[in-house]
Amino acid sequence: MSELKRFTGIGVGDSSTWGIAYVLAPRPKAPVEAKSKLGADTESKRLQEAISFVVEQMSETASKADETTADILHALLAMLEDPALVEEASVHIQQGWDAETSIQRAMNGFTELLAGDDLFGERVADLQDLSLRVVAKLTNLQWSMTLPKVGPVVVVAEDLSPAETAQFTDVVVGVITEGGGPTSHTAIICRQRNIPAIVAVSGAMSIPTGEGVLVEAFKGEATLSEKPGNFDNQKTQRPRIGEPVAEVKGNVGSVQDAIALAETEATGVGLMRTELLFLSRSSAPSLEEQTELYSGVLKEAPEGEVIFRTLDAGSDKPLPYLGIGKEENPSLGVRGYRINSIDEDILNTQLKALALAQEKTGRPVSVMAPMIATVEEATAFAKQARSFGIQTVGVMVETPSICVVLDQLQGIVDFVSIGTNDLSQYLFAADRQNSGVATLLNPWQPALLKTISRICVDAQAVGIKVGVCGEAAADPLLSVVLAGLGVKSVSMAAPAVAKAKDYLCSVTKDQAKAVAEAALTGKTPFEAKELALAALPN
Amino acid sequence: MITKTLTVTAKVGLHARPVALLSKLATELGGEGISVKIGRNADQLVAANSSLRMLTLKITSGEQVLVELGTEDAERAEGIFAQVAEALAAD
Repeated sequence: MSELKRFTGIGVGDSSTWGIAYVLAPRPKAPVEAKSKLGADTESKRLQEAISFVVEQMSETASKADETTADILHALLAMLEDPALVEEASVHIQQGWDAETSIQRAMNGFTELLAGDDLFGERVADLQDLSLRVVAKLTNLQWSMTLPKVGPVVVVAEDLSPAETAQFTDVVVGVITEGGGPTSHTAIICRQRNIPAIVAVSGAMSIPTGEGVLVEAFKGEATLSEKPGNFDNQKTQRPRIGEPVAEVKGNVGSVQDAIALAETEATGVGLMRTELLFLSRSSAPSLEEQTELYSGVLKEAPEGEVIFRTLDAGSDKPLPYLGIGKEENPSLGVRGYRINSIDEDILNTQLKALALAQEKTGRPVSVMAPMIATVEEATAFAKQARSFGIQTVGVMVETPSICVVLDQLQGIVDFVSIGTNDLSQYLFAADRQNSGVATLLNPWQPALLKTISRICVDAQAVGIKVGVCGEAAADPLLSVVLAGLGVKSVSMAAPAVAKAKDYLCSVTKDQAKAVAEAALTGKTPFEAKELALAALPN
Repeated sequence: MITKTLTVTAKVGLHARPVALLSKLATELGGEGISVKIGRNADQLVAANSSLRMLTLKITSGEQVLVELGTEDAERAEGIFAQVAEALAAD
């Protein structure tokens, strides 16, 4: 498109900045595994000393850091001082391994247990950073960070540990990393310190030190360029000109979430996840327990339609009382509505509790089922839900199979809700848990946008309302695209509501349509976003 | 041994701050000879003085946990449970 060198990733924050790139040297490589030449006692002593050294160094850094960083560093220190770590390492030392090998094997033992989980998996990098620091001390490897004294500096790195971000001085105005995700420590600290950052940028390490780089966190984009003429590190603010072009709803999982959502401008709930109550217990929650939770949510939720999703669990979120065995491919197995085929009581009790909550609060509920793959399933679910007195019934659109038969749902369901995360996973045959295929799951992928467009056209032709409740809705520019494609409501976590509403109130329906049409002509996620942004009126 | 079931209310789950606060508390109590264990059920309890072992339980917000104290002093135990509950709510 142009000669400018561009890099895309996940933006942290919504501001933009310009600075001179400063590339941090890659981390030292850990030495190969080796047996001890010094004997177990000496290795134990070496390890203790190295750990103490790193603990002292990090405590020192923590004492000078801001509060958020200090908290994170203290949490990491607790892990380094964890007796279990030394216990595990000792096992390897006793087997004849040297201290370097033993600490890494011990830490790997823990990181293997944490990997593959959205929330806890992010800690893996932190823990590996800790053991690498101990190894660096053991082998006298040089590993330090010297930032330029004058800025503005944009730090470019493979990944950053809290111990590194803690050393950022005021000259650091932006961050670009190859690794990391939206909930990584790098992201948390940058958000807290108001440093625009782009994480998960492939090829970031090819940015040369000394080049000018424009970091646009909101777009998730970094561009090698001279300082733009009229540039001041401004925030993107969009003035509202009228009503939103799509309804903005919220995602909740508990009564507390509903209370928090009521403090935003959200109109109703687009997704109430009911699984929380079902997790980590030995039997399914009773009718009374469920009625209480659902009534609580109905009482607290902001004005507007409240959509409950029936249990979305399976062998990926195992519930022992369901009797689903271990599956080779949990995401392709008995999950969501499919549970009904082995245990009808679960869904019947849920629907009964929802009907009771409706009666108790006098507020109507809307109900939808997850993982619907066929018209037959949708028909059976709708019939079952309506038999309990539920008026508004819908299904999630997550499988490619249901996308192509939406016309046959005429008169069967009132609405469909697109779960963009799962729809992407099944459309692109790309595992959500596998970071190696993450780029396929970018919500700006042209094939996903076209699929959503087709869903809107087909569903609307037969009078079915379309909503979106996946991650995609939380990207404010993408929410405008969705509205332009014909999506009537977008639903997101409470913190994202205000921004999405700003965007959706800043355009007319025709303008949103133009933005969507522009996005649809993109051949790559980057192009789609770029074209949408260009079509967005100022 | 005295046990109690508590709920993890921190948004992050048994993670970050809750884990840091709990391991600190358990380490202090360990000095007094009182062990603190935590887990989803009696079969998979881990020592609460280990952040790493607690993290590997991958307990998320809203889950219930069983907390076991190595003491017979009921009054003391109530006080400790209150501190544990506070840690489980720390965001």
